[in-house]
Amino acid sequence: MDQPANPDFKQRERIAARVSAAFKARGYQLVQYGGATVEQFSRGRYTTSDVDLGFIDAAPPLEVRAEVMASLGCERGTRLYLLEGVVVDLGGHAELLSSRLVEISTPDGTLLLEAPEESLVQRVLMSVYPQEDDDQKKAALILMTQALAGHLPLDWNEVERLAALPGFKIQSVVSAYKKEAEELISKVT
Amino acid sequence: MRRVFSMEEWDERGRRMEELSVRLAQQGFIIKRPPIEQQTRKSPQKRALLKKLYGPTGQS
Repeated sequence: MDQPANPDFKQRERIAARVSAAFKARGYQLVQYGGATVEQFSRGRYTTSDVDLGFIDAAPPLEVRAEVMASLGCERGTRLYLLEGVVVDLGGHAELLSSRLVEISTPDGTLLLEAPEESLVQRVLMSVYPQEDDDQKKAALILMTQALAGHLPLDWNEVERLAALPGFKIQSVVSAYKKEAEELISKVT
Repeated sequence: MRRVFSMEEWDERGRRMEELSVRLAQQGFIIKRPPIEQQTRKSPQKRALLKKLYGPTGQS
């Protein structure tokens, strides 16, 4: 049997908004985070193949989660669901480090995205820990170039704050990558 | 603290992001992600599901 095509980032965006709207109707607010958000911020240049969602406040009981996902047409599950060919990873409470979320009003409902600053700092960390990872470095550079070009809303002071947090301590790596991103931008503008 | 965008505003930013991405790609700056099974930050269950759905690369 042929493998179905992996849906594109716009379809994943629609699905994330639909799931968010369904939970909002039950009084719960979802936020998209992790690689799925980097995909949105990079316009699909960094692909994850799934949608990672977590709850802003307390997560609902398992029964409520199952009911909501079933109302969208998903088979019963606990964390991973398949909705219109898109894999949805429905986590628990999202432990976010920055409150500077991005909110997009879509035809399918409001979609909340992790702060671009947090997405960036997470990618920078993953590019050097536990070992060097060129894939993650390029993701960080893409976010930086889009921010430097003024396309991605990003507060560099917030990036510095996050990079200095215990568990990160990657200010020097952020500075080095920012210089690389500036060089990349200078070549194409 | 939230930054709020209409779909039109977000898509317009996306259009400009796409233009920049194309120019960066012309300079050889391309992300080529490893196959799903090598993306070890994903859980084994998720890797297995993605591989089953979309094949070993996990991409169309």
